[in-house]
Amino acid sequence: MFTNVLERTARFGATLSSPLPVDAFVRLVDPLWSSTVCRARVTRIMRETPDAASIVLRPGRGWESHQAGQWIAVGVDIDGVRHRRPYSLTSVPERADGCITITVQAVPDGVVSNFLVHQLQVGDIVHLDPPNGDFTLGLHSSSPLLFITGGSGVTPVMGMLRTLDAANIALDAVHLHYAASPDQAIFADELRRLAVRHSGFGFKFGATGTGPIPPELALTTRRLDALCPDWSARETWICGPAPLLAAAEAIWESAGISDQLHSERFQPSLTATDGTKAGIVQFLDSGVETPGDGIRPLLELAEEAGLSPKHGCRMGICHTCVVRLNSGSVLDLRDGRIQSDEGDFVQICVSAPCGDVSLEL
Amino acid sequence: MTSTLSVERETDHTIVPITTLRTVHQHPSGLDADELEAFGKLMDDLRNEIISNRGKADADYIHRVIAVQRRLEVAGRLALFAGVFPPFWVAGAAMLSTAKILENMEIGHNVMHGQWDWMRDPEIHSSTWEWDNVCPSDQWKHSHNEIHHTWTNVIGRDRDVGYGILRIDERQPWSKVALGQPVYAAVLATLFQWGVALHDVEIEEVMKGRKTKADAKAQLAAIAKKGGRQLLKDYVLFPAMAGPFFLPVLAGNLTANVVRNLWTFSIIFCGHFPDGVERFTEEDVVDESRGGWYARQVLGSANIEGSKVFHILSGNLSHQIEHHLFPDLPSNRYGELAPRVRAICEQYGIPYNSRSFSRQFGSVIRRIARRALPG
Repeated sequence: MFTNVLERTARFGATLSSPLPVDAFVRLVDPLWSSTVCRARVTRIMRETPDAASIVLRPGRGWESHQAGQWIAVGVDIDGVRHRRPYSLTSVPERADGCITITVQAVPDGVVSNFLVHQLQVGDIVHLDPPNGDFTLGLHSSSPLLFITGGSGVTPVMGMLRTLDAANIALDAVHLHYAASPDQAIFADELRRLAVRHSGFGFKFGATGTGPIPPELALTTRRLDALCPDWSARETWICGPAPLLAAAEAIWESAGISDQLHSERFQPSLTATDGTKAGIVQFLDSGVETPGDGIRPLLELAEEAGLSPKHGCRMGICHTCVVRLNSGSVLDLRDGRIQSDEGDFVQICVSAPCGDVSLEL
Repeated sequence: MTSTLSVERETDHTIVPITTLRTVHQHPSGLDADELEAFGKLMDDLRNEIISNRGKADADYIHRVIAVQRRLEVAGRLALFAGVFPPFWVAGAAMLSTAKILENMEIGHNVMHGQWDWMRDPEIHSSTWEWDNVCPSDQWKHSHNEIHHTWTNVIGRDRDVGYGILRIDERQPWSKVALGQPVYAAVLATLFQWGVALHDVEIEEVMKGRKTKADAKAQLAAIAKKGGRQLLKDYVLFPAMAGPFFLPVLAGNLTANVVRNLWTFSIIFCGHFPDGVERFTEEDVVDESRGGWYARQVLGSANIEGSKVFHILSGNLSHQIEHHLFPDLPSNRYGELAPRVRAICEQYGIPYNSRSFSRQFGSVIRRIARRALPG
């Protein structure tokens, strides 16, 4: 009965506000009241290292709780353009104040991470997608644990450790953490304090410098044996740069215990284009692939591959042919602009692929 | 010649004589291929310049216009609830009329052109915007963005030439039906949103057998659905919410819709039909280059001079020439482009048509009356 009334009220409201959603008007009062798009207000910014900050967000309506270790896509408008990037949640789920925290490391040339760390202000509004990812402890909260992290790969693990600590679980865990230098190691102090309070928690830190990992610090069976002799008996979570993950995967595989290794890959955002033109164009919805040369427009390539995409003017003015970009980079043949973000809308009549591209077509 | 071209249109690039036409027909601008290319290059440069420096200030502009429009709409509807008191009714009808005009012109029309797609905001995007008009957005994007903007003022191709109802050019055949067109124009202006909605159904194409009845029926069903919702909202639900003051609210909403219709009709007809604006034949556009397309947009469009508020209320279609040259650049930038476009046009001897609203609209009215008669 009650839900019926609610539904009818919602339908009535939607007709009154149509063709816009009710949210379009509700938002005028407070952007956080929108229920179709989840937004959050920045309530606090804490500097963790010179290049990293934790950002406390108060999510509005539409926020669902997360599990420790998960990430959210955060959308911010930079110079008028919406950018979305995934960041790990570092706060304990369902905090009493309803806030969540992400921790961001500014990477060189990273448009979004530098904006978040250095320019974001308390009071700003950001856009949130629902929490995502299966890099979580699941049923292993009370198993013997091993964490291996590199750089900002420490963030999802910090979320897990804070959650275990808040739940008063007696930790049986070892954490091996790599960062370029001690002052760039996010959360190092907090992790050391955690090790003081929990006798079952060991924290080992390695400063790698900025280049490749020095051989004596590299992740090897010998080093693991030295730092955590029972490593092969522990459920292991690893998050960090690709070489670190590759080293761990090889070790756990040769030990025959790959199923005990849970890894999270931090995908570096693809550089716009390195000059590569030739590549394979994948039309995902149609399941068709065709080679591209970086010169001919995607519409032509699709038509030659037997598809008949919706289109109009064939000269970039009518926007009938726009298709969502799934991955890769495309070049606007009129002005040389590159689009390379997942979810970008591409005018396929005037855009050519740069390297491998997949489109929702 | 005409029949050859219409065959070519139906069978898509199978006719040979195309190549011979190119040498025979000069571009309507009178420029040769090299001049057109140079002109096109200058236009491309202007376009690239705006694209490279659009940013936060532009995004702030459209966000502000949208916020003002929504507040005006809410305030207008609230004032109309108190519409038994004449000052409230007048204020309410004025605010709601302004809100509908802003929504259709500066926001809806321009968002659907993709002018704001670069912001990557899914809520202000050409693929998702649905406007406060009985015409469904996807049908509008076809008849307007695709047909009208590609084939600007080409008789027989651009269905906006007289909206399939009015005789605008002496080259359009005359019949006795045309005698009534001053009346048709007045009716079209009053009910303009319905004219716009039925425009893309292309009844005449269905009658000629070039479009299937099923396609037309599906479009009509979509119009009925959206139109029904619009009518329900403006003429049943909001008036009913006012209880005993049903009639003033209904009258206010009707007024707002009619004011919006008259305004949009006037601005749109001033864009392409004043004196001095050229219309083209299909032969004019055979093998047209990008530069040629640019030049045709200038020849086929007219600007209206006015204040800043006038430009915003016209959706910046008062800068019709710049809009037709760069339909997907943000509308708030047309004003700064106008003098630069004009200077380049003068340099190339391309007429640039820009006059006051009264002069442009007066000449449109005279044209509609004159073409009601033969010749």
